[in-house]
Amino acid sequence: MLRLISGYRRSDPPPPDGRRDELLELAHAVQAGDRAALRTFLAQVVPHLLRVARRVLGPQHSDVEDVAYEAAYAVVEGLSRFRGEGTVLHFACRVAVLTAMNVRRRDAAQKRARGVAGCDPDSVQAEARDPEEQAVLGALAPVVRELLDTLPEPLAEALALHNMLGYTVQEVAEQSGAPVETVRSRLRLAKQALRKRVLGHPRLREVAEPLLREEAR
Amino acid sequence: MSDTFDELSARARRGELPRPEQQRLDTFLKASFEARVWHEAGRELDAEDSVRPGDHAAVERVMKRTLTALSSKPRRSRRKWVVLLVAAALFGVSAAAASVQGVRWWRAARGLVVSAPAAQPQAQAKTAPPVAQLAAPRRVDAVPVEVAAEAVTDAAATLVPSALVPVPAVTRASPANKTDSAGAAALFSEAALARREGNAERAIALLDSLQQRFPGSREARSSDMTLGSLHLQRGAAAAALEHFGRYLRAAPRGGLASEALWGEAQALAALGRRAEADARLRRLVERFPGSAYAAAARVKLELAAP
Repeated sequence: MLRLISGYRRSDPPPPDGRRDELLELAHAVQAGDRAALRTFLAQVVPHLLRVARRVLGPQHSDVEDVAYEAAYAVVEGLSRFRGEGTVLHFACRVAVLTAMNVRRRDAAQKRARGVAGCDPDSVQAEARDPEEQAVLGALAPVVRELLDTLPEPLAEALALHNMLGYTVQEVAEQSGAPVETVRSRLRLAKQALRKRVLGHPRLREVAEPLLREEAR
Repeated sequence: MSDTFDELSARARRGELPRPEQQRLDTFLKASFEARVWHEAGRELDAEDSVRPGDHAAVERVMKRTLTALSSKPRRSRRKWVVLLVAAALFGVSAAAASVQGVRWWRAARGLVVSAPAAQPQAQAKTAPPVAQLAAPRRVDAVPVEVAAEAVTDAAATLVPSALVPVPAVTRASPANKTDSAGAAALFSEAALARREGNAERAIALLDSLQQRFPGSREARSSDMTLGSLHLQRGAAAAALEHFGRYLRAAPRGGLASEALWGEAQALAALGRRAEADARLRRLVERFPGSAYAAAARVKLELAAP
């Protein structure tokens, strides 16, 4: 009984792809209160959290580092809730996605409060790095990010994990705790929303016209 | 399942798609504008994912903030549970003891106690007649709380069966290992501090010492990465190469393996071994296509192509 409460250790579940989860042992040690393990764990995880925060918020966003910090804290605090669905790294990245999405939604709410429209083509262009790149579908990343602010949360999460981080459908399902078919359905809706958004964007629509004609054939 | 567009798109972005499946993906992309936009958006996000100057410092800042925040937060330790369990056990035992005493008193009061138990010392039998037992609970009520608590603890020490004494949680390391771990962690932290203060020489000395004194520790393994970066910054490419290589040999798919390959490529390039550097970059792209360093490696390889 004491072991159930204090010294409880799950047997290490095999990760879905059959590879050993490098961080699992460290995560156990962190949960057991090993300070040295905590440092090593953070050294391994934080670079990924920074990357995720950058992807979701955009490379130039001023809160990237804050989001990585909040996510790192939440990951360590939430390790006790990790039940071996996917890898520890996937779990950590999902926490970062959700943290970053909260920041995006907060920003969007502030913008709305100031009377600025959610989708501002000028701001999309300002985020793009290279005008030529933008002309050849180069402005899609900011459009995807904006989409995160407007979609219902489960759809936004599926979009972020699959499209932004490149998780497979199975991995998204494991992380979000939803059935695979539900994830597929969410992704289908997110794709439709992205299409709609691209076609509603004057410059992107211009570039997209030939592709649309190809599709119609 | 694997032939759906979503799977193909995700795996293509990781560089895991064999030719026949790539052809299937191309078919999807040609047929559907939606799929094309989706896939292109993902690829664009991948390409954006390059390593930035100052990333290492940002990681250290985030780590420091997190460690500070976590250490200032009161930990919900396992000890709390153990203490609660001990308290519950003590309460149960003292309640049982009290009820036994109560029964004795009740029996004595009704003249049912015929004789003291055989094991009871004679003196105690003489000085503690049934009436005294009757009074005992009342006296305890009058004792200050601290003293009562001590008495309960003393009693519990003799009364609690060994099965109820909490066994320490399964330890992950012997005391010696714990000391090692603490020593390694202390050196690692000190080196990190020296590094943040710009004292690379001291950081290197501390990390070298860490590796010599605690060669099997996690910190020693991670310190190879830090030592590699520090040597690279100081122009000691050969030493950097050795450290990155050592990390990769110890953890070929470790969390920092992509960074180690990137470091090896940089060190090899600094040593003028371009072909080997490119080979490392290609390996990085193949093994970790989704990593933060893969996009930068692709760009380097494209620039290096004739």
